[in-house]
Amino acid sequence: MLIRGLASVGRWDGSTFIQREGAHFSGDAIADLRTQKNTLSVWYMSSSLEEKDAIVAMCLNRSSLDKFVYVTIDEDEFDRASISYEKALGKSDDVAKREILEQHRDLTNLDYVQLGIIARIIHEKVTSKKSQTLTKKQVAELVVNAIAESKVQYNNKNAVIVESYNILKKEKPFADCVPVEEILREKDEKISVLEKTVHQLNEENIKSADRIHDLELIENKIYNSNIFVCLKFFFNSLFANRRNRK
Amino acid sequence: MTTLYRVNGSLKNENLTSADSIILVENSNTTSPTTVAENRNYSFENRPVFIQKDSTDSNDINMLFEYYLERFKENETNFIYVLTHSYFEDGMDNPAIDMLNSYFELSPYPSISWFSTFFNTHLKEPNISYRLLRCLCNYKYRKFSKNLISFVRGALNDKSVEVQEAAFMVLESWRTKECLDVIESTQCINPLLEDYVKILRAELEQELC
Repeated sequence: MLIRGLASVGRWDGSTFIQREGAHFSGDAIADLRTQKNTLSVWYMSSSLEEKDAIVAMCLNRSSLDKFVYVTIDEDEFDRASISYEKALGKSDDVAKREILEQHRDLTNLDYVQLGIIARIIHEKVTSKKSQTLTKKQVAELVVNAIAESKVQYNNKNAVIVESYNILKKEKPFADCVPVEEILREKDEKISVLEKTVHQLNEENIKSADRIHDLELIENKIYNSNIFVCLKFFFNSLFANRRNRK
Repeated sequence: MTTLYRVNGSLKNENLTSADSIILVENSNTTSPTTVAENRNYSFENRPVFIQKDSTDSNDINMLFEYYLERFKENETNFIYVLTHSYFEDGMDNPAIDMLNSYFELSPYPSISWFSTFFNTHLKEPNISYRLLRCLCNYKYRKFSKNLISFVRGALNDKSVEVQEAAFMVLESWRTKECLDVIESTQCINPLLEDYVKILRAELEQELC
């Protein structure tokens, strides 16, 4: 079975009629099948477990948590229309298990006739109430369970994941907090920076102390030399007086 | 004009001279090139009139309200263009959603006032009303739910599945007691949405009752 997510039910319901005889369903619906390089993204699933995984992978690529409408299509229906599909690794940064991403398929080499056939298949499914809709809360439960089972890694920058925890009013895992190792590492770094600063300051103090000591020595020398000069002057004058008396 | 505003940073309401520059400051930076003077009667000798955004003065608040309302009305043609050219898909943002978000972030109450008038004008155009409703599918509009829920209630009676689906999506996003009441009072639910609404109703009942 293959799964294809839809933009909304309203686009496929067929209520937008074309005022022409022999007209099929609305052309607007095809806007939902935006091909890229003639390929269309679908997900393969062989069990209900894989169905949930595929839904989670698709929802994680959205910009916000929302309801999810999808149809499941049998491969035979594509085979009958000669629509081929091939494995193409799904893109989702937060899916931790590669096996889930390997469930992704691309419908390849699509032309406008095949695209019309795919649209007709989806249209029939929606109008016969074979499409399925998951509410926001149901999607959130799938996402949170996938994280609990380590199929998806917790990422606090992914709005879908954050909103899932919010809507279910569940506590976010520790990944939201900073790990203890990181805190300790940061602390060590800060301490080492402080130690360096203290060391530098000490060195500067020592240097300045040396300078002060040098200055003191010089001052002492000057002082001493001054005393010497004074004494010399005193004795000179004393001797001079004696000489004069003689 | 008898009431005048902040002149050179201080409040002044009389004896303005032509040398006074009247400056309204948004976030203390005079960044806004659009001025009240250009489009409203809040002008003084055709010079730009600005007002402090965080002012608590009732005159200032009223003036700001009308100022933003006028700006939103002016930008209506742009908004319609963006709205009708944006692709609405479950769980995906688009320029129209961002634009309305920016309106509500800039000034919520003028936004509600403008949005109400705008929605009423386009009530009978499903192509626009379903898009407008989808813009409201966000938890952040929950605090304005009392002002906006009447539109959602009205949309639930619309024949178009797209409009009805969008209205239920809004209720799903807001998740208030009023939302549950609205769902319970809705009679004509499109068969394609029945399962979705049934689950949604059960969820809200479990949460709120």
